Amino acid sequence: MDLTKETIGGKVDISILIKEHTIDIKDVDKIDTFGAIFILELLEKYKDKKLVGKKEHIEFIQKVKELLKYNDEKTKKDTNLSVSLTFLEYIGILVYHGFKNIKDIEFESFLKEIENSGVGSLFILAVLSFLVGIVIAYQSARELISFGANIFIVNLIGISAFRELGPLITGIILAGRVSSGYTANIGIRNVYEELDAVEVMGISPYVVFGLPRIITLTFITPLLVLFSSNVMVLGGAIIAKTYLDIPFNMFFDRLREVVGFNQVFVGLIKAPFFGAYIGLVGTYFGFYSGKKPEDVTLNVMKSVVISISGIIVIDALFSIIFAKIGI
Amino acid sequence: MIEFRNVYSSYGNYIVHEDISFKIEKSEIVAIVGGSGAGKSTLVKLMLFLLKPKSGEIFFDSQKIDYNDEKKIQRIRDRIGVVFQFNALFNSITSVENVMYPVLKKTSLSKDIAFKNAVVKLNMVGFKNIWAYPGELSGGMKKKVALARALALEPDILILDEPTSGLDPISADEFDSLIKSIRDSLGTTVVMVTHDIASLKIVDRVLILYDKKLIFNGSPSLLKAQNHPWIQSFINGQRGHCYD
Repeated sequence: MDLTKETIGGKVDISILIKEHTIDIKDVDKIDTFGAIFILELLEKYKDKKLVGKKEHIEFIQKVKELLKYNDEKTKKDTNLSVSLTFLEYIGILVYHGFKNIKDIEFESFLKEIENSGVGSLFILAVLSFLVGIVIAYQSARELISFGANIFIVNLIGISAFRELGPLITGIILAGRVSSGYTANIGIRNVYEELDAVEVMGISPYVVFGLPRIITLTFITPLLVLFSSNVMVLGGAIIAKTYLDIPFNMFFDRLREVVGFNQVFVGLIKAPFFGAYIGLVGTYFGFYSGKKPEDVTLNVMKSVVISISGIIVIDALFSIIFAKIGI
Repeated sequence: MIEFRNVYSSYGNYIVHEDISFKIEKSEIVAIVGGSGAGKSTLVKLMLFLLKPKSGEIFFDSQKIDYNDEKKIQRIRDRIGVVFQFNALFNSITSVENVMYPVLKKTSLSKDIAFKNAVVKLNMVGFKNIWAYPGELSGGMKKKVALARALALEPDILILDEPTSGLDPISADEFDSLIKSIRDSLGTTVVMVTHDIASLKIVDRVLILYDKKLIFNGSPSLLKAQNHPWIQSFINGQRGHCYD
C-alpha cells in the first residue's frame, strides 16, 4: 500500500489504518509529503491514537511535521504604489516638464506619432465610418420613402456625420486603438526600466514618451474627424443613389446647402479635446502602470474603458453647451 | 533515468546538436555547460519533449519515447519539475499560492493538503515569507519559491535553467547547497543548465556542449586534464579560478 499524492485523494480506506489504539502504517510501502500530511491530519483527528509503522516512515512524517510551521501573518496585497498621482496632478507634471525640458522635445517624434496614430488609424476609421454611413442611410431611407421625403436623407446624413457621428466614431476608435497602444507602450517601457534609464540620462520621460503623443493627437484628431465625417457621408451617398435614386451631384449640391460651417465647426471644435483627452489617459495609465507586466494589462483595459467613457461624457457636455448657445 | 542515443536536433535547416549520446542516472546531479548558442536550452527542450529530435532516440526509465503518444509524454512530464531562468512565477498570487498551483491543477487533492504541502516545500527551501507576492521578493527569494513550486509534485527529475544567474555569489552558493540537500534528502535527479563554473562543485557529472557536439561527459574533477581549448578557457579563464 502506498500513501502518495496518487492514492490519498479519497482513495485510501482509513479503516485499514485506524486500529483500536493506533494508526498503523506498517503495511505502507511508499509515502510522500502528501501521504505524510494525510497521516498528520489523521493524528490530529484521532488524538488518542499512537502512530506505528516503519522507522523511516515515522521519521519522514516527523520531518514533514516540523516543516509544516508557518507564519500566519499575512502581508497586505502589493498595492500599486506607482499609481499615486491623480489625473490632474499628472497634467500639472506634464506642463511643468514640458516647459522645463522643451529643448528635449524632438520634431521627429511628432512625425512618428502622426504616422502611428494618424495614418495608422485611417484604414479602420475609413471602413467603420463608411459602414456607419451606409447603415444610417439605409435605415433612414426606408422611413423617408414612406413619407416621400427622400431628399432629406442628405440633411440627416450630412448633419449627423459632421456634427455628431464623425467625431464620436473617431473618438471611440482612437480610444480603442491609440489610448491602449500608448498605455501598453509606456507601461512596458516602465516594466523594463526604460523610463528610469531615460531619467538617469537627464531626460524627462514625460517629454520623450508623453508630450509628443498628446500634442500630436490633439492636432491630428480634427483631421481624422473630417476624414471620418466625409467617408460616412460617402457611404450615405451610395445608399442614397442605389436605394433612393438620388444622383451624386444632387446629393453633394444639397449637402453644401444644408451642412453649413456651423455644423462642421461643431464637430471639429470637439476633436482636439477628444484627442488631448485620449492622449492624456493613454499616457497616464502607461506612466503609472507599475513595474509588473500584469499591471500593464490591467491598465490597458482601464485606459480603453476610461477613454471611451470620457469621450462620450465630453461629447454630451459639448452638446449641452451648444444647445445653450444655440448652435 | 534519461538516455540520449545518437540524437541530432535542428530548427529547420539549422542543426543544433550532432550525435549526442549520454545517460543520466537516478539521483545524479548533472550540469549541462556550454557557450552561448551551444544548444543547452535546446537540450533541455529535448529532455522535456517539447522538441522532437531530427534523428536518434531518447529513453526515459529505459523506455523509448514515442512522440505520437501525447498522454504518455505528459505522464513523463508530470514527473519532471522545472525551474525556469526567469522563475516564471505568477505575480498576481502569493508565494504559497504559486506552490499550491500545480497541486491543485494536476491532482484531485484538497486545497488544505495543497496548502500544507506548499508550506512544507517552502520551508524545505528555507523560504518563510509565504504570504509575500513574488513582486515583493529579491532574486534569490524568487528562485527559492520557483524551486518550491518545481518540487510541489515531488518530481523524480528537477531541471534547472541557469539557476544561479542574476544571484549574488552568496545567494548562488546558498542555492547550490539547497539543490544538493534536496538531492540528498529526496533522491531527486537534478539536471542544471549553467554558465556558473562555481556551481560545478555540487555536481556529479558535467556535460559540455561545443560546436553542436558533446565534447565532455564526466566528473568535474577530470575537467582540468582536458585539452580541448574551450574547456581550457572555461576553467582557466578569469571566472574559472574560483574552481581551483
